[in-house]
Amino acid sequence: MKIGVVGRGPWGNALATLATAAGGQVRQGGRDSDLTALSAEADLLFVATPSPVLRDVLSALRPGPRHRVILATRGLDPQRGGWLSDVVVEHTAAVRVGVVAGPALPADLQAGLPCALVVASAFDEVCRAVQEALLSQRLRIYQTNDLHGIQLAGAMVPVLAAAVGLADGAGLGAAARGLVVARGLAEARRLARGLGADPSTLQGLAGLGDLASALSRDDHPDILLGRALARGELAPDAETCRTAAAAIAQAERLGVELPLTAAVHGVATGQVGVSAAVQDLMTRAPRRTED
Amino acid sequence: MADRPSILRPPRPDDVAAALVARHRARVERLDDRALVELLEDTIYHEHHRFEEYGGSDAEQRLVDQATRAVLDGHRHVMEASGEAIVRAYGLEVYRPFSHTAFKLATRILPGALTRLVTATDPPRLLTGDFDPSRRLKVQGAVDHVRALAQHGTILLVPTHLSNLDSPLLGFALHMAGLPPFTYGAGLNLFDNPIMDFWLSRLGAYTVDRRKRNRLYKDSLKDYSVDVLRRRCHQIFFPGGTRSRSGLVEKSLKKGLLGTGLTAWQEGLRDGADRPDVFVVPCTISMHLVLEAESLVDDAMARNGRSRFIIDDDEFSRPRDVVSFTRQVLNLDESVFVTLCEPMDVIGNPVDRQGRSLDPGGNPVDRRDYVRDAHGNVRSDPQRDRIFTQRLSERMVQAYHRDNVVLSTHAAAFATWQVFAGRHPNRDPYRLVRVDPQRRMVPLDEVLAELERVVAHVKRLSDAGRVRHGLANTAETVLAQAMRHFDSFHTRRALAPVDRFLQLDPRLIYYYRNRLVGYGLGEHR
Repeated sequence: MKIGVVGRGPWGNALATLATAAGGQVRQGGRDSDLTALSAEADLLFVATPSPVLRDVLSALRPGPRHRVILATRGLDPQRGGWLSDVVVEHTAAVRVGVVAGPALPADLQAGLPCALVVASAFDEVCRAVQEALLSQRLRIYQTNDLHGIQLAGAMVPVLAAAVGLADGAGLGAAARGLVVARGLAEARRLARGLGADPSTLQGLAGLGDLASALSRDDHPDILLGRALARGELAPDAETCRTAAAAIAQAERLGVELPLTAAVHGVATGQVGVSAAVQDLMTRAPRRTED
Repeated sequence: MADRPSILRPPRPDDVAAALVARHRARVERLDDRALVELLEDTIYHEHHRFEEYGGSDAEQRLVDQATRAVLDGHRHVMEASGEAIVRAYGLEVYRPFSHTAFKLATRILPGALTRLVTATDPPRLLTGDFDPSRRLKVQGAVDHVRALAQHGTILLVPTHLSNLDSPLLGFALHMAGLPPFTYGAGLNLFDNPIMDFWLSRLGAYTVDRRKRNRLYKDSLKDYSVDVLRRRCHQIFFPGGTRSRSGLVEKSLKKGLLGTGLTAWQEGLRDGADRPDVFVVPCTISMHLVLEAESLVDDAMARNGRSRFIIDDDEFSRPRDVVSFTRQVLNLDESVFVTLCEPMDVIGNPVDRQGRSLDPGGNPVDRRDYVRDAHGNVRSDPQRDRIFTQRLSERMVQAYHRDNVVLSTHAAAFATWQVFAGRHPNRDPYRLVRVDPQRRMVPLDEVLAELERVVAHVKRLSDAGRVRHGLANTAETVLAQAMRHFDSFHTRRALAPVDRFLQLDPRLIYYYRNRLVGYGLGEHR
């Protein structure tokens, strides 16, 4: 299989390594590469670049009818708050789009440690192509048609990891971690339901699995971001903060409440202090656990 | 425009039936015994229902009895033979051979016939010969584009649907636009009349019996559509499935028939056919008034909340209403707008005049790669095709909204409904249309102010290419035109001035107002 990988960061490198190990003919490029040539030689394209540059990358890459485009990019569309997969379909002639997400960490993948990913696409053939391209004895790849659910999980996990980091940094204790994880996933499920995704996807590899993996690392970038926020630093331009803003905008449109996401965003943008944010969260009206 | 050899040499009915049976057989081969039994049981169940409700011929009843016996027998070859006999009968019923001679005759006499019909109340105009039907019906949009594409492949024209008059108006519009004959589905009941049968059959119509709800029949219709496209006959069908009951521009389309374009194209590619391409042309039909508006909206707002799938007792079934509508409404300049939207391939990408698919940047792409594997072979994938057809359907809906023509009746009705609904904030449309007659008054000043906002908004959208309109400049003129149109035909008065108020018929106003839903006008419900 002819595979193109766009992105020279940890994810791009890990995907290129895995695809090569699985026997694919792999060509990797960065944003400064000749991406048109890269796409001309590939059938399966992995895009592992930050979401703010996705449109520029697609303009240069120009995937077409024969391509399967797989996003390893996390988050929501920073311009319009929608799905990144929609950006691909609206800006290119490619229709067969997929997303990979899950608890696998680039370093672990590179080191050959046992990992798992989930690939989502409305097209089973796209899922199968990714499995064929990456599958190895060290990597399990699950598939789902819930393209939106997986993207939402990929967007919300960093926000919730930052919320945990914030709770850690504010010295709220171990119980607060459990509270943030459980209620954070609950609000992510509410948003999933509103957006027409499958809420149970948030309980799977790309949601709970990925969050558990993130929380096990003290050096996870979003845990560190949360702790920095607890110290009073602001990070309005951090990708996680922008994703939180996009999620909040979607939630407001749908009439869905995202209190933890709003707290992270509020603290990161300086709209609310840490203590006030915690107090707001703890004094919300009582509700049922399934709400 | 060169005529298409295929339509000049219509196949024999037996050949068409045999082609449908062959497609059916290929499908059945993939079914296990249980699924085959379910297929026949579905047919038996729905056909018995139809017989009870509408009756059926002896031959039809015999075929269904035979299917019942086949299911009881349980042998696969007996069940297969029974299914094939039913499909063969459907094929013979659906197909009508096109006659080029009749088509030429009809297109020559139709304008004259229309002239006589609409000017019968105005003999001096008939004598002076100043009636020009082409002024009544404005054909606009991608006319040249579609004409060019007809040379490169087969056109699948998919219009919005408001009235039973859409088909003849559309046929006339396509003839005016210099397009070749199209084949189209027409209700089986229309063929009961021998004269209609003679003309419809020879003008490219095939029969559609919407009372038949079973899978075998629906599959046969889809197979027939594929067969027609494979024979390179341009085709029309209404993808909304039925007339819009509430006046809304279509938002959800029937994917089954729509997918036949993709199937026909792939089959043509696989067989190496000459010019296998199918081009999809969405089309909007916009009229100031709709003949059946009163019946349709009454049905949409019925208390039981369930619309009838088939309405056969509306204004269209009353010749006097049709003649009156033709004289009073169609006998006005630009009373009907037929807009051909930008053509698409069967996946929903725009196509240029050479028939090449374009990416969002306007660059040509090879659409065959959507369905070919790495070795260049066309590969079957029903799931993929469903998603492609869904994409096509979404692009068509966008095109309908973009090329919908907003007319005075729509804008005036929208503004009036806004004011009316605003005065009854806790009522949904079902309750609003049942407001006491004496409370159906709205202040004229408020309607004019709202109409001014609506007109300005529509014009802004139109400038941005997001809708079309035929609106005058001022709210007063738009309202006056709308009231003149409303008063010209409907038995119920849609808008009546009473001092500085307007009395409205909520159902008619709701119906015409719905044409403007979905354009960000901040509508009440």
